[in-house]
This record gives sequence, C-alpha cells and structure tokens, in this order.
Amino acid sequence: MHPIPVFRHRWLPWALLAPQLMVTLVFFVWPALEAIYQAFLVQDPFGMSSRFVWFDNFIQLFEDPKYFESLVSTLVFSAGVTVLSMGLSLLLAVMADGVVRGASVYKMLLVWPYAVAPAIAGILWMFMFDPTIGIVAYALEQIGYHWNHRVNGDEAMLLVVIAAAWKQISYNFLFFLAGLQAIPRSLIEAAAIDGARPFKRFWTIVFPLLSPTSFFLLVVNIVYAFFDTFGIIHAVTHGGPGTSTTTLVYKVYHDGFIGLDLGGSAAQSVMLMLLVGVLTVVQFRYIERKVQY
Amino acid sequence: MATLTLQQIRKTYPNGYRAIHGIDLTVTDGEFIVIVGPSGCGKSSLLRMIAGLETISEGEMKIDDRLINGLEPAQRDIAMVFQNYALYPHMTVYANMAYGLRNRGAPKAQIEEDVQRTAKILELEPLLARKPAQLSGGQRQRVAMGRAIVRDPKIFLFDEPLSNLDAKLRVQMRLEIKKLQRQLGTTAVYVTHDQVEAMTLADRLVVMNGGVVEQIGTPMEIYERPATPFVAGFIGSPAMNFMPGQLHGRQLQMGERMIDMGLTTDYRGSVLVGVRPEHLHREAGAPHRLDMHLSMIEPLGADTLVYGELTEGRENLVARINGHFKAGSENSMRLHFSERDLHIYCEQSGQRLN
Repeated sequence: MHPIPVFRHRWLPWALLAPQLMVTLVFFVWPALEAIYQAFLVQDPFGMSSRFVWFDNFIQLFEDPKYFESLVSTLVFSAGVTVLSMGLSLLLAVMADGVVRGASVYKMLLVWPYAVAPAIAGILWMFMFDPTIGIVAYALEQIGYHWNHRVNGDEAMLLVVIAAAWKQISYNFLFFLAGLQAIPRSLIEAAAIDGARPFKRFWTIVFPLLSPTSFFLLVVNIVYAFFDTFGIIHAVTHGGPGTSTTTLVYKVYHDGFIGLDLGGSAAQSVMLMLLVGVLTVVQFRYIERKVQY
Repeated sequence: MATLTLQQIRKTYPNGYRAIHGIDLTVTDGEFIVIVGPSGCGKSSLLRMIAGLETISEGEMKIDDRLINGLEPAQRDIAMVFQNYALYPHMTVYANMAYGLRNRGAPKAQIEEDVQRTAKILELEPLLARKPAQLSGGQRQRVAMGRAIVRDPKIFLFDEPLSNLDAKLRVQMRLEIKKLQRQLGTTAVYVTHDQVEAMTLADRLVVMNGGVVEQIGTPMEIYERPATPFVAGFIGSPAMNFMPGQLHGRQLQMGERMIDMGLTTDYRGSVLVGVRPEHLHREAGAPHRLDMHLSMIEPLGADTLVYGELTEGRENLVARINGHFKAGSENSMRLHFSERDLHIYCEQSGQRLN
C-alpha cells in the first residue's frame, strides 16, 4: 500500500481551474445558452423588442428551401475538402516516408501551410485565381479556359474547396506520416517476399494498418470543413456568387449579421450545435472500437 | 529443394560502411546452414541479401543455376521468418498464411488445401480464425513458420526467429524447427547470435566476425578444431581459456613447462594457447597440470564452474568440473589436461598451428 497523498485545500483546485472555467463559461457556455434562448425569439427590425415564439424559427428554417440548398452546399464542400485533403496528404506522406535525404526539410515545407491563418490562406488563393489579376486565372486563359469564380458558382465552390483543403493537408500529412512510420518495416518486407507488388502492398497491408489514423482524420476533416472554414469562405467568395458557397456556418453569419434575422440565425446555430454533438459522439464511440485489428 | 551459391559476396552501404567483405559459400540441397556471430558481424545483412531485401554490392548469388542478384524478393522463391514474426496484424491466421498464395494467383481450392495441410503439420487448426494479437508468443512463431512453409519455397530463411521467446519455449521451438526442416527437406539458412541454437540446429555452421567468415564446418568440427582464436572463444560455453606460450618447433613452452606437441610446423615464437573449461580435469588422468587460485564457484547441478587465476601467469581461468565440488578451505586447486586438448594459434596472424 502506498500512502495516499491527501489534498487538503478545498479552494485551491477551483482556483487553479478558474481561468479555464472562466474562458469556457464566458466564451462558450454563455453564448451557447444565449443562442438557444434567442432561437425561440423574434426581434423587430430595429432590435427594440423581442417576442417569444416557441418553435416558429425552426419551423421556418425547415420550410426554407434556401436552408436545404445550404445544407447541400455544405455536404458538397465537406466531401470535396475531405477527399482532396486526405487523398493528397496520404500521397505526400507515402512519398515523404520513402525520402531518405533531406527528409526534415521536406516535412517542414509540407507542414508550413498549417501556420497560415485561414483568412490569409483564402486571400492567397483568391489572388491566384482572381479573374483579372490572378496568375492561375491568366494561365487558364492561355489554354482557353475562361475562369471567373465571381460569376460561376461551381468554380467558386472549387476554389474554396482547394483553399480549405490546402490548409488541412499539413495536419493530415503529419498524422499519416506518423502512422506510416509506426508500421514495422518487416511487415512490408514480409509482404514483398510474399509476392505483393508495391501497389498491392499498399492496399492490402499499409492502408488497413493506417485505418485508425484515417478514421480519426476523416472525422477531424469533416468537422474542420463544417465549422472551421468560415474565414476562408468569407475571404474568397463571401458565400457567393448567389448562395453557391454559403455553407451552414456561413449562413448563420449571413442571416444574423447581414440579414439581421437574429432568431433564425440562432435557430441555425442550435442545429449546428446538435450536429457537432452527433459528430463528437461518433468520433468517441467508433474511433477506438470500430477501426482496429 | 535447391542449392544456394554465394561467390565473393560483398556489401557496402551508401554511407561507405563495408558490412561484408567477400563471402564464398555453397549450401547444398536440403542442408541446414546456421550463420552465427556477434551483433554487427554482418550476418543479418547477408541473410537480407539472400532474401533480396538488401542489394548485393559485388559478387554473384545463385539459387540452383539461376543468378538472383537482380531479382525481386518475390521472384526468388524463398520464404523468411522474421525476428518479430512480422505477421499481418489485421488478418486472421488463415489469411496470413494464404496471403502469399493469393498474391501468386493460386486457385481458391488449392489455397484452402495448402493452408489446411500446413495448419495440420503445425497444429494451428484451432487458431485459423484468430488474429495475431490473440495468440501467444509461441503460437505467433508457429504461424510465422506456417506462412513460410505453406508456399513450399526453395529456401527457408530464418532471422533470429527464437530470440523473442522465453527460454523454455525456445528449446521446444528449436527442436520443432529442426524436425520440420528434416521432414520437409527444404534448404535452410538460419541466422542467430545464440551459439547453443547454432550448434544444435546446424548441419554446417558459418561463424562470422566483422564481415568476414572465420570458419565454415560442422558443429563438431568447429568445436574440436576452431580455426581462429575468435571462433575458439565464440563457440563453447563458458568460453575457452587462453594463455600465452612460446612454440619452439614441436615443443610448446608455457611458463616453466615444456610440452611435446608432436607438431610438424617449424614456427618459432609467441603463441596463444587455448584450452576449453571442460578439458581441465581434477583427476590425475591427464599428463600435464596447472595450478589456479580460486575466486568463484558456480554450481550448475550436473557440473560446477570454477573461476580463478592461473598461479604463474595471472590469466583468468574457468574450469568445468564434473559433479559436486566441495569448496574446502583451500584457495587453490590443481588441474590436469592433455596436450591433445590444446589449441595453438599464432599470436600475430591468429592462424591455427596444430
């Protein structure tokens, strides 16, 4: 038996936790409660008075085709970002894993984009693809493609997907690389002796062994695409043209702060909160159980 | 079933490190070759070159009459058992064993039959549906063996396959590997640093040191006539005792003592004289004797190891004494040996002189 250290102070733990608790309460719990409360109110146009309307905001939301358009945009956007960023980062990680000389330089360069703020990343891509002054738009013009994401909704979507994926590649890359390096060399060698060619080795040995990493990244990437891409969209397209790149998160901002429909915006926030909750549950339930060998 | 021929095989790593300096070896059909040596002697590099996992810098390697230098591991028709088993953790035992057959496009019924037959040989049948994580160390070892056997390769390669097992299991698996190899008649190359494994498994033993083959021979040849002081000290436990001496033609001088070795060599000069601990006897049956100061005694049950120093030369000495040894109050003892049990090496070149 080890003596159990007795911690006598009742107030000290609370004092030590206080800063974190304050931040959480003030910047998370309070606004969240406020949003839930707001979701049941309707403001007058000047913000002078508000009225309790029960679930009217939600009913309106579900009857609004624009909301479902936005949901579809979000799904397209998230799928695009997740597939593109995970695919590319896996490719890069597999290549980086094989690099012997200068590996650390290579890794550092690949990790760099993660240090770029989302809005700046957005601006970067916006400038490159700018229909009048962008270098990529110019290059596309030369090969006969007229790029204008300010008019063409699909091009706008493609651009924000690329910009958002680019930022996430670094993060995915690091995890994939760590995952790859955790696979014992002898397994690959055994597979080589067992007659599997490199491509087959990858799909039958490496990829299954990466599945816990992949699943983790899948959830992280979906969460990222859903909730953390406001900055990029705001910088690149402002949700336009029309509403073609208005994701759910962007719509919350747009309806609330541009449209001044605070109640409706709050109702959307509540829906997003539920979605986050579901994703979190999925992440915790399955991440450790479902994907393992 | 195959012969393996190595001609002047060399390995130089890209950083300039020369791991292997020219090895010649012919492994005949069905032979069990054990490559033994201390860590870093190049034995694993050599095995990996046979497997095709390392490139061959110089020399020719052939299986039967086919040059395999440039072939992929898969094309060489070899199977390898790794130190950490290297089982595919996401596959069942069955799938682990079937993987190599599937990759070679064997028909499903054939795979089923081969895997079942191999599982039967190794008593793995009840485990076929399990994943490697659900197996014990010995079972994993057996699956790794099964994966090698099932493809019926020309050559088995073993890379210290028993070093992750506990002592008891190691002895058991050692016997099983030997039995299996006899039964299948497949040529085998086995790498280990454990000299007991080496002695017990090998048809012929290859003792390596510093990227060079020190000696090739049957275990008993190597035990009885080690070619160099390194081999003499490496094979045998406890290690051979070495004492300095002078050779004058056929006469060996050790301290005051002259021993007639009956040698035909005309070498004169300093030599290393080796004698195995088990060849030092307490009984006065042997013609020569030496005295040692006792420092420590290790009873092993059947034998007793007696450690001490040579009275005249201060060299450390070990003797393996039969049966009980009652440590009395005396702190020195007299040991007898025969000149037939001496190993004499040139002090400069390490060449064996008798």
